[in-house]
Amino acid sequence: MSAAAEHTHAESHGEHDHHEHYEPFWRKYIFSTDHKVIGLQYGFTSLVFLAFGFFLMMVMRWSIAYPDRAVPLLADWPWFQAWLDDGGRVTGDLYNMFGAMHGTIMVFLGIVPLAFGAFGNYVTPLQIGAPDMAFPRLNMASYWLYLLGGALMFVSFFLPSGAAKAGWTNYSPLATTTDLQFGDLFWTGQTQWLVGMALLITSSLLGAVNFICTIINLRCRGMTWMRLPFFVWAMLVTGFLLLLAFPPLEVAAIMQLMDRLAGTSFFIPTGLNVSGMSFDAAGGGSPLLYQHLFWFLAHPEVYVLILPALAIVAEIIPCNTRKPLWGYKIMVYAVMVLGFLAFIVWAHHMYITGMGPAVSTFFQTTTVLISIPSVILITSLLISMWGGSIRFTVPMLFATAFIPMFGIGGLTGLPLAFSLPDLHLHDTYYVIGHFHYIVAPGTIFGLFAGIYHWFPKITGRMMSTRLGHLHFWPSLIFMNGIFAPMFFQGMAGFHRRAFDGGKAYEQISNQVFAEPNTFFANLAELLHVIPADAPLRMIDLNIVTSGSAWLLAVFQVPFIINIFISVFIGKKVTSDNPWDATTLEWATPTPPPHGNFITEPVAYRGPYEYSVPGAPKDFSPQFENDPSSIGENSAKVGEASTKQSSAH
Amino acid sequence: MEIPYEVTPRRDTGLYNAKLGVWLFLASEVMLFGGLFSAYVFLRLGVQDGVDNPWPWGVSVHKSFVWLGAINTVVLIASSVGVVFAWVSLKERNWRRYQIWMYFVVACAVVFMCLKMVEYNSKLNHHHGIKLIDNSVMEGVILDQTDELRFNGETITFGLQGALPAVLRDLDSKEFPAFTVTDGPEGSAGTELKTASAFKSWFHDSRRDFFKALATDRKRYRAEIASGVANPKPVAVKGNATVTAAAPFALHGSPRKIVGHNETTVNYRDGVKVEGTLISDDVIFEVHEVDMQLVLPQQQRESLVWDVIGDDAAKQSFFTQQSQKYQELVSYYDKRGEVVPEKMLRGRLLNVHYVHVPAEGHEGGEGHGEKDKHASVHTSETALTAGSVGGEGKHGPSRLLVIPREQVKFMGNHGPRYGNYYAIYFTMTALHGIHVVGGALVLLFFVVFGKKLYLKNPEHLANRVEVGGLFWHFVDLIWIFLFPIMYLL
Repeated sequence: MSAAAEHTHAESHGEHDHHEHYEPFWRKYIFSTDHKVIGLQYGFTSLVFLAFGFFLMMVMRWSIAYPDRAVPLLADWPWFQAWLDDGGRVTGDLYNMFGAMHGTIMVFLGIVPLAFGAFGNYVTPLQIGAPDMAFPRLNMASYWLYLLGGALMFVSFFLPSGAAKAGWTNYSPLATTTDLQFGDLFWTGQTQWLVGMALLITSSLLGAVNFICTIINLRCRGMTWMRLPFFVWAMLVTGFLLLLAFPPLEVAAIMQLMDRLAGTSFFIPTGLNVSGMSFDAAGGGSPLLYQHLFWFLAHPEVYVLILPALAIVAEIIPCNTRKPLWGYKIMVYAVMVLGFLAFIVWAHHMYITGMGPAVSTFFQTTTVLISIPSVILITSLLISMWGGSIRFTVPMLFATAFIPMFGIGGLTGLPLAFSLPDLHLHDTYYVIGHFHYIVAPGTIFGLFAGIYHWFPKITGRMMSTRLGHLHFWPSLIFMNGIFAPMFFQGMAGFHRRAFDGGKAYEQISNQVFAEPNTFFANLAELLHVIPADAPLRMIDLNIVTSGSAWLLAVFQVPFIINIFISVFIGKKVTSDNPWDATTLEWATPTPPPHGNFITEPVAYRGPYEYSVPGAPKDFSPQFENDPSSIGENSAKVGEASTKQSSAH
Repeated sequence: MEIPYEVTPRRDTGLYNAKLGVWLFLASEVMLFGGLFSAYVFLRLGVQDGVDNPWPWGVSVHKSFVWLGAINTVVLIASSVGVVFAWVSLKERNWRRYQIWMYFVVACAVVFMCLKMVEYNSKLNHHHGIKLIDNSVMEGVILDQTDELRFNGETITFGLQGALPAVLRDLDSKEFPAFTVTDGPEGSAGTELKTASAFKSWFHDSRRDFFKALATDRKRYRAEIASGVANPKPVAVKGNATVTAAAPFALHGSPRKIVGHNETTVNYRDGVKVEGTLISDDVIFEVHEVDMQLVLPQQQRESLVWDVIGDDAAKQSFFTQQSQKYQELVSYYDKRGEVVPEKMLRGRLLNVHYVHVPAEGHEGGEGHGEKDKHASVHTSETALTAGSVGGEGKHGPSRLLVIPREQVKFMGNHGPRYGNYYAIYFTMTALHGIHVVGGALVLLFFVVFGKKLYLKNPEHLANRVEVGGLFWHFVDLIWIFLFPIMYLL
């Protein structure tokens, strides 16, 4: 590749060996303080949890599609005996447990650790030219707290009570009164959920402090605020969201823990009856208080889920269109406004709780306002592709698909933002479809894109393009196969918590989605979903959705194979910067050693200077001081670097 | 590899890493306690008069504790000043003075926690209340934890699907009654379970066998359905067991685990049934105060509480005090040309009064309000009442009330479950206490193990003390908010 990179590489090795001291295996790879190792630990753990959460959902989808049939393969497993009925069918308890834990695992143990923990940890210090995070040992602590919290959640499945069953939101008083029959209240799933969450929250808080400190204090010379890659900006905003939104959930968890273990009535109203018996508590508490505390976290959490993925896409698009990111500054301001507004929209999840029209009106207004920065972000990404000569590499495919998927998810959210249509749509499959479009084909596609994009930096080998295509195209089709029917079912009135898939509600489930011999009915007939010449009913869409979910699982196999075999037999990269990208992580050796940079990095220009007129190459990396390729944002280097070097 | 700006501040931000970090951490702490303070406001504003437990006035709950709280405030402020002096001493490179100030800070933390323990102990062990089924409340002392059932158990019947029966926790593991399995899974009858651990391992083995047998039978059942058998035999695996004790065992059933009982049976919340003989389910109580806030004024004279107390003089004294206060109230509002607001009529002032039920043979010691200040030191008639609490010595010994369980709606000590005030009081002060202990441990670490770092890089140690001190100030600040809302308002 570039001469400069080769140069630093060659010169480095002497110094490199000099600094390197022997570290035993457990210190280097298990209790490591290196942000890259921790990032990979986060990555692997969260991928395992994602797969586990997906498995839970596949069992649920069986119950929804075929509520009368025994669950295949699992009916003889000893663990399932306590939770299936005599015919091997899924019981309501099992469905509730898997539903609650699917949500919890996907959000708190899967996507956030992968997006924030893994990508944030690996990429952020590299992109700002830092040797490591500001507090490496704290960083290790956050990973191990996360793992401990995840382990508790996982172990809770094997308790006699099973895991938590009161939904991922764990609303009181349902969550407080569930599983109270067990003598040892501490070792019930419901309590362990709270303990696990407390650990996860602590882990996130430590992580957030660490990220913000790193970004503010460890930027290298010349890395001024407006030269930060957009990914770093997103991490900064995400860090603040986690830092300030999580503590109220911790409060809610502590209070619910007190309700369960110490018998307090924070969330227990006066005169509560459970199973026909008066509940033995002082009463006077407020269930609504729990919802306020919960959603004060859980709405910003939505942006924690989406921002890192969006930012990964914002890194990949300029690199593959060979054009600067359109509207970099306005995106930065938009993401800041988004972060601020994220704190004042939470009660739009609570329109039907009876908190009053005045409050609803306020939150309706803020909710509509927050769509403005979201649209700015997504439109900037779209415009960034305009007129570029796009390389459709595998990461770019995922990044491209991200935009319409996120768009569908976002636009279908608008009816939910208003309290009137929300009355109808609340707790239906429409809501499920809406937020899964954002987090599944949205966020997860963004994360896949990130994995394909940075894999060569991490391992020094490319991932297989062929397997990548085999992963991408079916995933795109089946993601839509899963979530698109949900909109129609939801508008027809399907409730999200019916474990028989709505079979019991004939009037709703027999509504016709497509008349016989229309396109969709023919397609469904072809796929053996419905018999010939029958209408495609709403309830038949359950089978479409479930089938798509299982096929989606099948087509993740190429991805898993790709990751493992590419480490060993992938095509070796020929340079440290295989995508010809511009940001600082590509200035490091491949893979980056402990301490990252061989010589102290300096940022000479803005992050996305592609195709600068008059430059010799179509990309001008931040780390190359080549006067012939100076772009508009490249001035002030000397000034900034001298100012900061004096601080050393 | 070295992380930049660990000790020296970065020029353009003016901060070293740890200082930035601790400010961010404090921001999240503000959100944590902010959430709790909002919960306090939300819960307190949400109290519905006459429906929910009234929010007690701080002063009336704490009585003498306001002074403890005030002393604690001073102690914490002093320690905050101390930590600043410790930091200054380090900046002046005076190790000896640093040590003195730092130990002073830690000592303040110890004093704070000790005073806190005094308060907790009093609330948890010496103050109880019973709400009767007509919502009248008696404040006083439940003696010797007799809110528990006393029961002679003989057999226990339980299911094998779930967790270990909760009743085992109510049995004394040292004098574990020797059980024999009288009914249970095939082949288990006659098994002797002499110790708690033998019981546990037998239970877990049976549970595992039960699920194995269940899996086999279900497989058969599903196969029969699949092969089209007309009436497949339903799955039937015996999933419960009964064990019988060689001799009746004493059971102290804690009320939270029990959903119902009668003369011969106790039903636990987890579905376990214990059979035997009830000894007593009465609650033995020494009453100090009757609280009628949840009883309508016109029903107060017929309240159940007077039947329970069974002492006319005590009843008279309550209503004498009530009318006295009412007269005061009326004259107060008359002077201003107003009528007494409804809220005051239902409030604490008129409806909570001191009540003394004299023990037999001490009828003369019966007291009216605060007149009787010279009575001799409380001498209790039974060992149970020993040390009975809170300066009630002024009226001679009290008679112990025997309250039938079916007349009790809710009872307990003044612990977190007694009401929302107590819940938030304990939650917030305990969380604050954890912060005090955590902060003190960190500061103690800086002074006990700080010498090495001091000799190597005193500025680094000073930075650490500065960061620790910032946290310590925050802990202090939280208390400054907690004290008024918990003790004064």
